Amino acid sequence: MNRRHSILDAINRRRFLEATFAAGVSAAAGATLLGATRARAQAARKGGDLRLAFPNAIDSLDPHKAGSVAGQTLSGALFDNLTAFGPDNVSVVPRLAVSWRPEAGGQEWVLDLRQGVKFHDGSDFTSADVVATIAKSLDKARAGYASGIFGPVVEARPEGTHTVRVVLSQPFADFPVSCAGRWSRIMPATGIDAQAETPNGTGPFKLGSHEQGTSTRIVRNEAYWDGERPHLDSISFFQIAESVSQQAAIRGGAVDVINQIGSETYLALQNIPGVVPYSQPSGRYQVGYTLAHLDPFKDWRVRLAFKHLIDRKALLASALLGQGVVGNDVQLPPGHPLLVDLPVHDQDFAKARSLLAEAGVGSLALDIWTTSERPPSPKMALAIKEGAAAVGIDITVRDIPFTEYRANVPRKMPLFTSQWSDTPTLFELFYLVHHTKGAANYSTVEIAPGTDARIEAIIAEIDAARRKQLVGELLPIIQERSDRIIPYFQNFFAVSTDRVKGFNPIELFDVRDIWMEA
Amino acid sequence: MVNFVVRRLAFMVVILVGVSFLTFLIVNVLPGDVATTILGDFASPEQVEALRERLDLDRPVLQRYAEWAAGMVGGDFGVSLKSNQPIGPILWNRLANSLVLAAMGMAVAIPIGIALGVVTAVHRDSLLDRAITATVVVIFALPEYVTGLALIIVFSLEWNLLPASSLVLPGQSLWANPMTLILPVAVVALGMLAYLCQVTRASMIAALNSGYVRTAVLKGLTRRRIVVTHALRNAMIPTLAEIGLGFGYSLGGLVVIETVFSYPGIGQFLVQSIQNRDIPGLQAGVLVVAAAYGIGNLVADVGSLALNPRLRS
Repeated sequence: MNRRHSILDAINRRRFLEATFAAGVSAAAGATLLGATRARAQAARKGGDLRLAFPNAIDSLDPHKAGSVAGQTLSGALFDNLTAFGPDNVSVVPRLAVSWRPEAGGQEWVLDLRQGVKFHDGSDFTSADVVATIAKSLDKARAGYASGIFGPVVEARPEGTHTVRVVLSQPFADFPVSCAGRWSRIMPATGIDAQAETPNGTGPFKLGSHEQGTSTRIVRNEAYWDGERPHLDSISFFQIAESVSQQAAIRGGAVDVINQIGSETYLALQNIPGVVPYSQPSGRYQVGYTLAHLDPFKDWRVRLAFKHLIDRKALLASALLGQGVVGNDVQLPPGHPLLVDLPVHDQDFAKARSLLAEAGVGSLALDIWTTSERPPSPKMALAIKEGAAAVGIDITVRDIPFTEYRANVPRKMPLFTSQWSDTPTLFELFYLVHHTKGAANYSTVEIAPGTDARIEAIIAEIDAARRKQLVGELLPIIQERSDRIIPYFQNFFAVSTDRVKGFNPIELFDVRDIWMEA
Repeated sequence: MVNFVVRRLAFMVVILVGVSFLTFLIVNVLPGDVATTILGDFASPEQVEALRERLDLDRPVLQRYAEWAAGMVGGDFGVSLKSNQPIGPILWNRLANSLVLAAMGMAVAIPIGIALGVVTAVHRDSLLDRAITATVVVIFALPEYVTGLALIIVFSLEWNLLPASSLVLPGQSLWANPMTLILPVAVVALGMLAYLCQVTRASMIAALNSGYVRTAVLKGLTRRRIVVTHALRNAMIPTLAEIGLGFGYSLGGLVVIETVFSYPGIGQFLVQSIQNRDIPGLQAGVLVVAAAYGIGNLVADVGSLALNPRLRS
């Protein structure tokens, strides 16, 4: 393992512990984390069928088109990444790539690939497969969710059968981390566009049978390169949408794990014998967008004024039933090792009025767009509306169906709610959402002069200490001027029976580690 | 009779064409499309446009409808825009599952609903009549979502007697675990039997007050013979029509029940197609439900003709 690994390991272990304690992990979750650690220490039993349920169905077998967490979890079982997140869920460890090194100051990365790995159809895994996968992610018409997922890549080219050189448009320190993402699974060069019909990965499980939208069964890949894992014989995927049905299914033993449950389901399942509910701090957050290229938010003082409208603690209590932590308008959760001391954005009507007056904004009438299909974001919209009323701004809450929301709201409306999953790379954290060329920068403009250059410097910097300094200089700018109100980070919820061991309750857990008691 | 059936079948084809066109039009004028759904919030407008072009979503609606309709006539239901899987096999499998649910629900609801309707009509205004009528009115008034959740809470969560979800592995028969069918069938049956009870009661009361029943009484026929042979046979005509309509309604109305019980039927398929803006899937699903409605109605009409010779003229 190279030096960068060890530095990241140290940082990320610290982040994990800090996040755990700063967030005030519930007793159940704390016990769970310790339990998970102990479970890994126990000898894992081979065999068993895990029945795994999600609130949504597997939407596509193609890793690049899997939008649901169920589909992404499945693709993580059928396919391998070049790297994978370690036990702390943040640092990366080798998987299909056994080692990697930056060259040309981080503008090129050379990956040495694992030898002797085979796809499920028996063909050999080679550098051509990595090149084809990265090339697909660069083709906007074919990439699906994976567009640009490997970072600012220009091209990937083979250097022999098991070495790949990746050339980037600029130095990119997070490249190994970006290889571990949910849409970075490596697919075979042959038949790469047919994975939705016949998925063919190198992963620890092979597709057994699949009925679209109903259920899926995967079975252990006996030829998997990792001799120790997976532990399970098979996994069956189901969809259970309703909270009451989820409770009945786990209590009645119809399923072993339900991932992505709601907070109400988590609370209802506490103190049930044989059932282990998890409430885990996460980097997942919801956002109130105030798009910086649209009126009335072109003036950063109006954007900042809106950040002072919400009583965040009250919103956390009412919207998340206390299952989360207060946000401070930067996308790094409390305890993140790169977080610096920032002024707390409390509800402050006097300051909001003053900022609005400085910006020359008198009375305003606005719509805030939200969707109940992303709970509890409508409650955030209501909190913004109530706060705005106190400073003379009349806001109407528009709660619309998700499909309509997705097509007509992001990028188009000045004020709306949204949500973001935990994003591990600084490229995703900063470049994608704040750089003017970032695919998810809805405002399309710099929030402050020089922001693009600062972000480019951060993602290019390989030295960890210097990187932290650069992030520390950027965060106050983001907090003050960005187009995003981040009032809270949501805990992640899951539930299992007490027979399930090695389950790490995060959005995308690794099925390789799971085993079941007899 | 044959002419009648042929006429109705031709009429049904016209209706199905109309339904398919309206559905296609509505789906295409609604905001949001499969390209934005597939790519998600992060996608740039250029990405969305590129995918729209790749999926042919940029071509005129009428052209796409004509091609889709031609495929349907040839038995080609198309390919899911989201999953890339052929829709036909998925749809038929889901339809078969829904037919099982609807048929079992009807099998339970029809005898019980008719029996309760007859009993309440014969004992009109009695305490028994009022108790049964009040109960079925309450059941009928409750949304299926509420009835389903109530049954899950009582029979699954509290008493742990019955499974709350119809979890079926790929290739596995629904009958592999028949216990999973009980609660969803119960919800279908409860709603239907409450309705059939009301319809049968009303038509039985009308029949019992009719001249031919009075004649039968004066002729000294037994009460049982009067009720079963004379009154019920005539009262069944409107009931039968409602059963036919109810079958189609049951199939279309399974959306909620199948979602609550994770039942792999056509209702769940429709919900998933809507969530994914999977236009071919949605189109095919709606058309199949409309066809089921039409066929149920036709069967009911033919049954009415068979029961009542006067209608044949």
